[in-house]
Amino acid sequence: MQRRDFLKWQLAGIGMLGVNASMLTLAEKALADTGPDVAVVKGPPAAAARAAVNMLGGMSRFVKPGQKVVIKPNMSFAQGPETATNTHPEVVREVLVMCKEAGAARVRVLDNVLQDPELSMTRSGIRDSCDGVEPGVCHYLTDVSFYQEAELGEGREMRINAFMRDALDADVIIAVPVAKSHGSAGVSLSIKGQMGLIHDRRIMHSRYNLNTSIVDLATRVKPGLAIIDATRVLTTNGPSGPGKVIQPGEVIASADPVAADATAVSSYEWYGRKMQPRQVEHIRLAHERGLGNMNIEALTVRRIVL
Amino acid sequence: MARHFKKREARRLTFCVQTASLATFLFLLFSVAGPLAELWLPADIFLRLDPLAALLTPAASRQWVPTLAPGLALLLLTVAAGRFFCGWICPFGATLTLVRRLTKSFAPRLKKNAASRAGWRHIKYFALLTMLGAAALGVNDFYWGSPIPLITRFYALLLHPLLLLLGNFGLTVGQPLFAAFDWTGLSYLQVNLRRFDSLYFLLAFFGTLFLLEHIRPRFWCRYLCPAGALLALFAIRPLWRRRVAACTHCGRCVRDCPAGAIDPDTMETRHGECFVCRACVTACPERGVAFGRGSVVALSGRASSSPLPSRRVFLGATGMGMLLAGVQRSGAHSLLGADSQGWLLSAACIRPPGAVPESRFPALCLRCGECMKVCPANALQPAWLAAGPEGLFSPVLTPRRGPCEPGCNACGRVCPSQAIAALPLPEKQWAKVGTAVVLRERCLAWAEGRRCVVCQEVCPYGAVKILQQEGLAAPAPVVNAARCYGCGYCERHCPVRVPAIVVEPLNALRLNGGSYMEAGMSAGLSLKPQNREGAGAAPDQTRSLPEGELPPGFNE
Repeated sequence: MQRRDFLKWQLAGIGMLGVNASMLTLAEKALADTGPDVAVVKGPPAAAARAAVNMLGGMSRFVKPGQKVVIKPNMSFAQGPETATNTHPEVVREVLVMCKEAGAARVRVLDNVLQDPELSMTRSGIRDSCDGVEPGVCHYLTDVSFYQEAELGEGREMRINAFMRDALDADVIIAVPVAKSHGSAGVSLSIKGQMGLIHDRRIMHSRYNLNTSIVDLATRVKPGLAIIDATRVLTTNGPSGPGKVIQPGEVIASADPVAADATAVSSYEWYGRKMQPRQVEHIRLAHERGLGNMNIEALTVRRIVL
Repeated sequence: MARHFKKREARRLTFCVQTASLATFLFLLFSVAGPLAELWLPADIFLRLDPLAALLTPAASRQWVPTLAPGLALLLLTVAAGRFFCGWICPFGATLTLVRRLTKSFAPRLKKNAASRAGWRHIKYFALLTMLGAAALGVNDFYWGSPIPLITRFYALLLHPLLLLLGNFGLTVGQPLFAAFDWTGLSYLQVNLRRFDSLYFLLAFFGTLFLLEHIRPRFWCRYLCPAGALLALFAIRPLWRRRVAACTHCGRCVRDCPAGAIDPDTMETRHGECFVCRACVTACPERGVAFGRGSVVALSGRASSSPLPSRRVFLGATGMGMLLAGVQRSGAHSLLGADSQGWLLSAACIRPPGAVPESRFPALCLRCGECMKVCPANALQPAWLAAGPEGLFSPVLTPRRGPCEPGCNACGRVCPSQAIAALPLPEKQWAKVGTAVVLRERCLAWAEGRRCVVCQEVCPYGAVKILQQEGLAAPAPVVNAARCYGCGYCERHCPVRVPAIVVEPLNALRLNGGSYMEAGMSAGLSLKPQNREGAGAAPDQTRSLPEGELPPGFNE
């Protein structure tokens, strides 16, 4: 149904183009207002994150005053920023600041961490940097009492799991992953990162097909905005490292998490190779199931250097 | 009325000191939970004061244990001042008193019959001598009666988890309220619940003692405690002791004495039974009782009426202890006196890092539970039979419950008898506790050809590699034993319900002394926790992708 609508809209658009050339300029103007599909900014971490979101139309496009926002960074590893296993604390901080500026009523920075929670929180530097903006927003939630069972209506394999109550309640979920390789999923970016919002992710390995269930998860908790921290990229031995860390110094942002992930996959080397987004199964599956567009050739990707 | 008031007044000092002592004990016990604060008192000072452990640990382990010297000093002080430890300091006794007062109104009214209890005092001597006999043959049986380790376990392993459970219940109930008021501090507070094995023993043991309190006050201290018996032997004629100047045989002191130290017939003091609590001083209407230096006359006076068992009982009990030790040494699982051939070591017997060799560990370990209390991951558990019958209640690492954190050395720092060595972190890093083993018939990758890298993902030592194997659909985990510490992160996080990667005490480094780092290096180990602060991750670029092979997780 959606695809048919899309095609109709496209046909109508073509028709209009043919009829009236002035409509073309209008359409272009409208496109320019919402910015590119994907923004890639090279620069210092915080400034790059802000510039990337601004290119998409600013945080106010995604977060309306009074809304509840959950920011999902990677902070699962008791390692420092130089290892590129966690999101850069300054990127997370800047996203938090932008949400507050946009008038969010309640922002939480949450993850279900993997390694020792307290050590992960302190070594990643994320809690400290968030506390500097608003104390008490950044938490690791490992206790089951913070989770609530919810069904995944569009799930193919995973149809139920316990989700963070905050994630279920949130008006907007912003994925702020670090770009890194992943031994079983290929890469761990904004879609894969949503595994930190559920309680039992072991089951995604043991019972379900991992890639299918990653997409299942994205049907329930889809980020409204993906901001991928590629200031440093762990290109080998992810997600835990240690591996080869390159320093592109970039931040990728998009309203379409699949497009953001696809851009990250094709922008950097993985084990020294150039890879295509379609080669990452969960990205391909997400694209096929209509969660976003991985064909970045068909999208407007705007790159700037600060 | 006036008399009643006076009585309370006078017992206040003893009560205050006893309460303060219990409070100090609990403060020290629970302040070690977080980052170990450098306190002016050693956190384990009460454990070090246990006279029974102080005397019998060196005997059973055949080595001088300097940390337990305070308990020996206490024995000397007892010669001077009697069993003041029992009346004023011991947190076990204070707990019994407290529980008796708290449960007074609920307790069943039991018939009291003082006469039948006289012989019961011998039980504690019998216990002491049995333990002494066993210790003489190198076997630790005194953990069954060593009071401070027992009471430490009661608070740390039984009561603390219950209180946490209660706190967690409160937080869960209050969560909607906290969220509504946006009290983020409270609404995201997580109680790190603790679970422990062997709690039924503690429940039964202390439950029985608390009931017995209503038959006789301080039932345990009077009749059962072997440490009390040891102190009593040193307090038969203390220099500072109870003196009676004037007596009308009114019997008030007999009635008020919580230790039953005054013979009801002769009104003589059994100094070995006296807790020096001074209840009799105020009970005496004649003000004829005082504590002071015993006179020479009294020293050479009548023979002690302390109900010491006969020499035959002493010898019999010691013999029993030796017999018990012999049986334990002959047990199939005992490692005592055995050469390394034919050892039966359970796969679950993973000891804390820095534990002395297994043949010596059960003798040195006091079973106080301090290490289990302090372990941040709740990984250390009191063993039932994981370490054989001789290792009952001693600590074993249970990785599925929680892993051994690379940046933590708390267990060794709190161990009062140094059964677990106090290792600085760089040394502890080399104190390998075991090796992870992949159970291929269960592993998702090996058995089902599915992609799973969880063990590699969580390994803090980089010991698990995911390698493409001949004939397998997906790359599968392989453990590099030289890099594996046995921390158990892999076992803890394995997505298979019954873990497919488990830690076993294979090649654990267990030293009597010396440097773990040197021993580890010479054993060819390469233990480098990669998430230690400052250590930084050394990029592992050794493995270049072979031509034609895709990066892991990617498809064609």
